[in-house]
Amino acid sequence: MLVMTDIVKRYGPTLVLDGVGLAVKAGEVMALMGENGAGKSTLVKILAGIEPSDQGRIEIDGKPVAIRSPGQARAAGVGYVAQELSIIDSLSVAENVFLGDSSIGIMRSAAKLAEMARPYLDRVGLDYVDPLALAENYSVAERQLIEIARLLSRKARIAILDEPTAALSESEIIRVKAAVRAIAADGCAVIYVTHRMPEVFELTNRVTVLRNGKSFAPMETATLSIDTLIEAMLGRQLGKMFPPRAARLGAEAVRLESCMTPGLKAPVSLSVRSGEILALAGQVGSGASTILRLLAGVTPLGSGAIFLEGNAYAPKSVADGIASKVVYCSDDRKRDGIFAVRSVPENLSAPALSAISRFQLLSGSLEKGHIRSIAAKFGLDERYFSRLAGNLSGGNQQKVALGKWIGLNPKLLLVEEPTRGVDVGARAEIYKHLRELADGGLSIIFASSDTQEVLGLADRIATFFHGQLVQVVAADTATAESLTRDVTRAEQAA
Amino acid sequence: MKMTAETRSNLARIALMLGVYLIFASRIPSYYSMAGVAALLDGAVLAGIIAIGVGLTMIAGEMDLSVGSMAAFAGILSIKFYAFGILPAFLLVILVCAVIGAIQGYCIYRLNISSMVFTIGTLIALRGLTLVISQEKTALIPFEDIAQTDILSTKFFIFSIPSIILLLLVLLVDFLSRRTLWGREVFAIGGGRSEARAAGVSMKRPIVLIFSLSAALAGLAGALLSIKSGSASPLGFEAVVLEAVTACLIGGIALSGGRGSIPGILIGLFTIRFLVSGIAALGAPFWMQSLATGALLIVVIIGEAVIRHVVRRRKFALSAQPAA
Repeated sequence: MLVMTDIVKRYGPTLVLDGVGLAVKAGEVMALMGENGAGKSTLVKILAGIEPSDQGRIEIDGKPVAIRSPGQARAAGVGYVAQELSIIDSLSVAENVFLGDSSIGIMRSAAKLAEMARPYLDRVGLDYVDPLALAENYSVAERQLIEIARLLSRKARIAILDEPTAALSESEIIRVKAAVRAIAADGCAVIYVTHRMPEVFELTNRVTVLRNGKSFAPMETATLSIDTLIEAMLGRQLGKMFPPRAARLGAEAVRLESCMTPGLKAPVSLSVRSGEILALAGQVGSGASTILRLLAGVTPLGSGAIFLEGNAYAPKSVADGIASKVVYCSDDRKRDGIFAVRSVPENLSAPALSAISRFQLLSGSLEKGHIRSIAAKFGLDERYFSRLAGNLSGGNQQKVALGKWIGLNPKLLLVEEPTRGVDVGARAEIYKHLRELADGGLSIIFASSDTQEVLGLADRIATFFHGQLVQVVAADTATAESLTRDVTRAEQAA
Repeated sequence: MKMTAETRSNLARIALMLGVYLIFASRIPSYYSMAGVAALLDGAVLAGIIAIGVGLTMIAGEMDLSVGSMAAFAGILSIKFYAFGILPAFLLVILVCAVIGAIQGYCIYRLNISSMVFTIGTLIALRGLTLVISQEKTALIPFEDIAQTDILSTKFFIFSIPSIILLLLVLLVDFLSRRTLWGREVFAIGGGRSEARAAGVSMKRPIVLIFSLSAALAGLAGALLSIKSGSASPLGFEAVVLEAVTACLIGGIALSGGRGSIPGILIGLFTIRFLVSGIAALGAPFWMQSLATGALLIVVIIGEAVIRHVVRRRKFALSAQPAA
């Protein structure tokens, strides 16, 4: 039904998709798999008309179609459920089903709209939902199903679901899977993007794997083993990217005892020693980043206890965390990592203004010394000092975002996705500098969905799945395969 | 039947309004009289009609601050157009204002900037334009024609034509906002701009629509008041935007957009009106009125924040439990 061939997409100098092909038949569920950054999301966004492709052909039912906008995609029968939900809390369920659809006519009473939404809601297993109730009354899973109902109401013949189960629990996933089976049974061609092995094997007919911007010929799911699939996704070996692990570790720096907070589904206990780098590995919604936010003071502690060097620690805000020398570098650099329109030195000295002031006045000489020492620790060239942080490359931005916290001499550094949007060369440098800081006695906890990074940088790895800690292993005993199994729960882990 | 949070909050607002009314009605006999109620209704017309428009922009997550200048502009214009007859004057003024508002909405959509910033610009510019077309003088309806304007002051039972217009507009705009695709789009872009965009809602239509409506309503209010009194000052209607926004906030329109209803605005407005005219009737100094209005708004906002906090605590306590 759908054939995409030779799709090419560049972001600046980076080739994201390099001649990718994808073919899906009516009534079939096609899994689209690959590591983070393999190009899965870019490919489906091209089909949904959200991103233009630089080259390539799209044919539907044997006829070439031009998809340059979401409207054209919809007209061609393509429906897209994005990773981020597009359900509006303050509208009713029925209004959400028909949101953005002008074909239903201008004038519709709430009751009429509810009646029109009913069959679509029933089809996705929401027969008990009141179409007149506000969407905010329903869970994330139910809202996900409302999106699938919206897709049905628009008579989509090709349905794209981009990680629809990332934030859902086991019992909720069953409902999404039932809805996907229902729409495939109606003759829809379903493209199902996911990281989760069980879903691939239970739900999909075939699998297309993307790796480094290239696609592989689709494989019949029934003939596949987990190992062949993981091998197809990873494919490459670890290079000389990572520094050696810690030679010796200090005393225990942080301990979590049975901690619960929204985002977790079971209590988590963990500990980190000084000089140690601990990786929290898991996909979106696994709870790995929740632990970072809990320690940073972004998310409050629900129950359980945290100890920092033996003392009880319960930060109520990020400022509390900083006062206890715990600093947090989020994965959203543009939003809270750097001040994009301020200069590099201003960025580096921002958290430490009192340390570089005399009598409440900023001291130029103290500031200069402060930023020089940070720049040296992170290998940041002084010729960048006159530039605005927003104009630096991703790698240098990340050095600024991390470096500004180092100026506070923290005890615990929390980093989410330490090298997102950072090129390979700068990655190796950031890894080296993080390891040097750890060797100086700093404890580092980072969350990452990049398998290579987790295996290469960490001393120990805590794996997360669905809001639960799966297990903690020494990094040198883990392999890409064992890690991928844990975070996708390819089999029930111990 | 289970009450939704929305219904509960609306009932609380109605209770607040009646409470304010009863407190003053127990002290002031004229609050019961037909003349008293009629005067209250007439006093609410200007801010009421304007608040409908401002409230719509707030529901869409925007804010039209230019309405005061728009009303003054419309006032001068309505006196100038009065020579064509009373009804043509109204229609012309509303048309001109709607077009200006539509252009304003298109600019805000096209430039993708904050409507507050843009409408502060038009707020100042329109005031200047009003001074130019009025030659800095108060515009007057010729003395020989003034008798025709009496129709606007005539009372039918407790209603005058302006107060009937206000009530009809509330019903009409409420119906349109809830029942039409366009109204739903206004609620959608206010409730979640990026979600609405992802669902395929066009931003252009609702934004042009609300700014056009808001300007047209401000124009109607300005023209009504000016023709009724037979004169329009180019410097008038300066404070009305504050009362309109206050009425919307007390009436449950969220500043962040997406929530609230048009009848809610009327409830908010009457809560303020009961309070202000009650204080005036008790002979308190004029500054007591703004003090009381400000205090009322702050009390409502604190009350809402407390309720939100309690709800969030409850949700948090539930979700932090280990799954059974």
